[in-house]
Amino acid sequence: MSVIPEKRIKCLVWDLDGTLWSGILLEGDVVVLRPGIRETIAELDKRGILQSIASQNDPELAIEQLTAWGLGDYFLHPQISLAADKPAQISDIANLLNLQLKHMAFIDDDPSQRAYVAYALPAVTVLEADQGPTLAQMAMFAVHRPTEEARRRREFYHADARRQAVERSWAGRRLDFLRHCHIVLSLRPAVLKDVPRISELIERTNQLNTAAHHFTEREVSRRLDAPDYCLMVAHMSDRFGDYGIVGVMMIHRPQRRWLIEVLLVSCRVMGRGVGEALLCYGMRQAKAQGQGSLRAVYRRTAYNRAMHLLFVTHGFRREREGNGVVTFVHDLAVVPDYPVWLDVQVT
Amino acid sequence: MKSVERRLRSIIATITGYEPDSFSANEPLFRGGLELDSLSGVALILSVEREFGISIADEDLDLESLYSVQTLCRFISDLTREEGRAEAVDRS
Repeated sequence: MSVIPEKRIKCLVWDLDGTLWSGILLEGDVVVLRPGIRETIAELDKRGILQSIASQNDPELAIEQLTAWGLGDYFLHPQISLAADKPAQISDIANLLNLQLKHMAFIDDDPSQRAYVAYALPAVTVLEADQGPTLAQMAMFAVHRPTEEARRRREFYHADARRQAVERSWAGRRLDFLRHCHIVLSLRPAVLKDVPRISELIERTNQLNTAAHHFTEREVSRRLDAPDYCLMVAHMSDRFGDYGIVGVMMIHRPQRRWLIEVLLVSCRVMGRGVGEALLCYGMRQAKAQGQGSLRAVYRRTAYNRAMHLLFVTHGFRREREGNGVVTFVHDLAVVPDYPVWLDVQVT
Repeated sequence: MKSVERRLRSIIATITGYEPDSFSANEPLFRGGLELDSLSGVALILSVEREFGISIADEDLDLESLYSVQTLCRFISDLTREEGRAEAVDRS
């Protein structure tokens, strides 16, 4: 089977009976983990590829079985029910993880389920159960070099799952919920060991990313050393856990005409004010250094409308537009404060 | 039919959790007011498009129109009038 090289899977959804294990749990079989599956699950996890479950099964029995094998914690938002509709389960997982369907893969031994998912969700990559032991060798699951964030990605998503559970049952104002979270956002200048994570974020982030193009690790390193560049990273934690490095801002700052070349926020933490805080920091810095204006570029895509709104609602105006790249400018007369619910710590 | 403002207030109430009548028409919707962020801002635009049957181009979005309930009402009314006129021309 040929693989489209640029295809990158961020989440693999497993079927259970006949795919992850042999036998049928509901029929009382003694189920056995299929050969090579434990190793595959652990390896994908180490690379930062998320994993979940779409299965027609008794949820309690299934989770009990996975836990007995020590695999329970690997799966985020497992969708297990007796009346399962696999495309709906996969869509739910994608929504809960805030991922696009094109970054999802599904593995199942049943040809009719594979055909159904392929028909209902054509963007999802569908795999056969027999490919299970060799998934880690496939290009779509390859990563250059797993970063600290990748290794801990599952942990970050578990924190987010805890947060989502509280948010769903939150009856009051959204603003009060954000305050309740006690979000701490640390902004600091990037250092050499952040470079792989910065490149990874620039490459992986679709929705909240202004970058006009991808930057190689070398290009990022060069800007890290350049005196006329400011490269900031944002690290976030809240009462539910730690989220690692979730935002990046790259400002070109010659003597005059400062320009935000990259502003991005991980999709994991959308709606928490990270972009707002980074932008306010950039504006404060520019103003403190005597700049009379601050510019920002933004490549318009089908997904990043939120970035356009971010600039506009902070008082930036469109200066010009060409080839899908918009330049915004702000006169820095009035610089907004950090979002009220954030504890911003600048080091 | 409910006024543009009533319908808009109900959208904002759904997104923010504020009661529809608990904020003034001049209260900033974004920074320094109800504190919508860029993500809930997108939710607001999408809901407005659906509720009023209009489409809003990114280049038409600026802080003057998005500032408050009052400014956004004016923006929506202008747009529905324009699109209504365009439809009338189409039919002729």
